[in-house]
Amino acid sequence: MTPAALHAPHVVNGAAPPRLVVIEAPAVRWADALAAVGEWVPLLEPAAEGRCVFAARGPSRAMGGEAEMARRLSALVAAHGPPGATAPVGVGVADSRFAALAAARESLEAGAPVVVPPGGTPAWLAPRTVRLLARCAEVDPEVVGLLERLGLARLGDVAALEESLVAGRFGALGLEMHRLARGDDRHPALAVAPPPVESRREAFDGPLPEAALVVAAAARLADPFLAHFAARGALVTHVVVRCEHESPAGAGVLERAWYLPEGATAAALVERVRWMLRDWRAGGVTALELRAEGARAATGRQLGLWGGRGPGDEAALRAIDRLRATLGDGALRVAAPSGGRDPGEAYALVPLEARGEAAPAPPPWRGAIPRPSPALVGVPGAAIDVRDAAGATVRVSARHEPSAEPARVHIGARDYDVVGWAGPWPVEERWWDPSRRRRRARMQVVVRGDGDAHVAMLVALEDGAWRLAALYA
Amino acid sequence: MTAASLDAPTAPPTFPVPDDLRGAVGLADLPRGRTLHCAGDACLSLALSLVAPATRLGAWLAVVGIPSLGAQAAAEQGVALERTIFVHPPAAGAEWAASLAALVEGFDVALVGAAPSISPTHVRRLQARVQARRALLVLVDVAAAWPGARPAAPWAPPDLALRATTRSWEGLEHGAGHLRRRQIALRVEGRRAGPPREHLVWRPS
Repeated sequence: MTPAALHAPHVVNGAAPPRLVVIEAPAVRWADALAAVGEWVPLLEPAAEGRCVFAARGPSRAMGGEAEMARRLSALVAAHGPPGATAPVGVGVADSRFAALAAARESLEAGAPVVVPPGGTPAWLAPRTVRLLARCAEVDPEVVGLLERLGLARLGDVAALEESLVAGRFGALGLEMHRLARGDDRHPALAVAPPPVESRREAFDGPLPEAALVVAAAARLADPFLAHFAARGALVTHVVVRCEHESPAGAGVLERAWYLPEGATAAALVERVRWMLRDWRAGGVTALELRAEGARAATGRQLGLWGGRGPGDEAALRAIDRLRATLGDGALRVAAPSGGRDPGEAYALVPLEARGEAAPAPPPWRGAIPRPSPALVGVPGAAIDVRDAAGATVRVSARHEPSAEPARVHIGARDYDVVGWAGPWPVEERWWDPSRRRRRARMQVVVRGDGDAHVAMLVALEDGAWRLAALYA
Repeated sequence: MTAASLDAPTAPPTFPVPDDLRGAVGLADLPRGRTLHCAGDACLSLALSLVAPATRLGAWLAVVGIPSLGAQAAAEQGVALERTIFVHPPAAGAEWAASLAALVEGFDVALVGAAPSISPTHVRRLQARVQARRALLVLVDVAAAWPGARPAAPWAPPDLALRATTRSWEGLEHGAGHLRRRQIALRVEGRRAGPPREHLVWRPS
C-alpha cells in the first residue's frame, strides 16, 4: 500500500474505496461502443442500455492516468455516434457508484469528462441537490421531495445529519440515502463472514452452438450458486459472468460484471446471461462460470405476504385463500413487528386480514432481554414458584435485588434444582398512571429437568406471584 | 418481465441443512417429501433452525398448532417471517387433517405441534400428499420443552427422528450475565441416516 493510500480519507476496513468510472452515452451504437471500451477494460458492467460501469484502476494505468483515460474513452465512444455527427458522451470518475454516475451526467451536459479527485467525493457531492438521489440512485422522488420540505436541499445537508436521526425518520432507506450522500457505496460491507465458495463453473463436453443452450446451463448453475449464499443469510450484489468460447478464429473469453443492488435471483442471472449472448455471433461456448464479487447480509427484504410474487408464492397464497374460506377469518395469523420488552412482545401474531404495511424488524427496546430469544412465549400459565434453599418464595426488593439466591423452581407438583440464574431485570410500565402501572421483575433460570436436560426459562414476578413467561425450547 | 417477478424468490430445489448442523444431522439437505420428528427440551429451536435456510431460499412455512411460538426467536434463527403463516386448525381430527392437507398443497414446510388423535388412514393420506408435493412435514413435540415432560410418540411415523437435549448453558454467573448459548446433545435416528448417533453442538454457534 502506498503512503497516499494510507492517508486517504474514508478508508473502510483498511482499503480505500475503489475508483469507479461511469460512461453514459445515450445516442451511440451501444453494442459497438461497448466492444470498443471492452478492448481497454478487462471487466465491465453494462449497467443499462447506453451506460456502463467499471473500475478505473486497470485502464487508467494503461492510458496514463484518470484524466487521460476519461478523455480517450470519451473520444472512443463518441466515434460510434450517428454518421456525420459527434454524439454526446458523459464520462464520470469518483469514489462511489452514485457519485460517478452523477459526474457522468454532468459530463454529458458539459461536454467534457468530470473526474472527482480521490477522496474528494463527499466534498464534490455536498453542494449538489438531493434530487440527484432520485435521478442517479432511483430513490423515490416523493421521498426526495420530503427531504427538500424538511430543508435538506443539498446532499451535504443530509450527510451532516446524525445517522440515527435519518434512520429514525426514514428507516433503512434513510441509512441508504445517508451513505449515498456521504459518498459511500450503497450497501455497507458484508456483515456476515465471506462465504467459502464464491464461484460455480460448468465446462461443456463440446462447444455449445446456441445461445439458448448456454442460457439453460446458466439456469442450472444459478440455483446452487445462489443457494450457497442464501443458506448463509447473504445476498449476492456483484456477479461476474464468464463465458469461454471458441471458433475457427481461436478461443476467447467474454466476461461481464453485473450489479444487482436488491440481490441476485436465478431469474435475474439468467436474464443477464441472455443479454450477454444477444450480440454474440460466431463459434461455440465451451464453459460458463458465475462468480460472486460482492455480497451483503440479507436483511429487511420483505416479500411473501407483503407482495412481490413468484410461482411458489402463488401456490402458497392460493392455499391461504382456500383455508380462509374453510376456517374463517382469524384462524390464519402472521407475525408483525410490534416492539416490547418481553420476548413475546417484539412481534405480535395478527390476523392475516389485519396485517399492515411491510415493516422492518423492530430494533430491540431498552430493557429487552438479550438474545437468544426463547422459542416458546406466553406459555399457558402453569402455577410456578421460585424458591430459595430454605423453601421460601424469592422476593425482589424495590432496589431490584433478590431476597435470596433461587435454588428450586416449583412447577406443577414437582421441584426442579436451579443450576444457573441471572437477573432480576425490572420493568416498570406506565409509571405515570397509578391505575395502569405495571411493575415486574424478570429472571432467567436454568433448572435440571429429567434426563439431565438443562431447561432454561424466563420467569416473572408480578404482584408477589411468579409466573412462567417463556421457555427456551 | 417486471422487476418484482425477476426478484421474487421461488421455492428452492433443496432444503439445505444449516452448515453447523450438517455434521450432526448427517445430511446436507433435508429429505423433501418426508416426515421429521423433533423432540427434547430444545425441540423447537432445533426445528426452527433446520427449516430456516429453506424459508430464506423462498419456501413457505406453515406453523400449525404452536400458538406460543416466539416469532422473535424464529427471526433470530433466520426464518423468513414474510413467508410464514401461523394456523390454528379446528380440534376435531378429520377437519384438522383436512386443513393440514390443504396447507401442504401450497406450503413447502409445515411445522406441526400438538395434534388431535387422527386415524391411521388420514395420516397415510397426508404423508402421501407430502410426498407427492415434495413438501416437508416437521412434527415438534412441544410439550417436551417442559422440565419433567414425558416424551410423546409422534402421531405420524417419521423418516428421521431428532432429539435435542440441552446439556449446559453459557452466560449465567450467579445473577450476573445472561443466557448466551447452549450445548445440545443431538441424537439422530432414521431409515436413511445410518445407525443412531449423538453429537454435541453449540447453539447459537
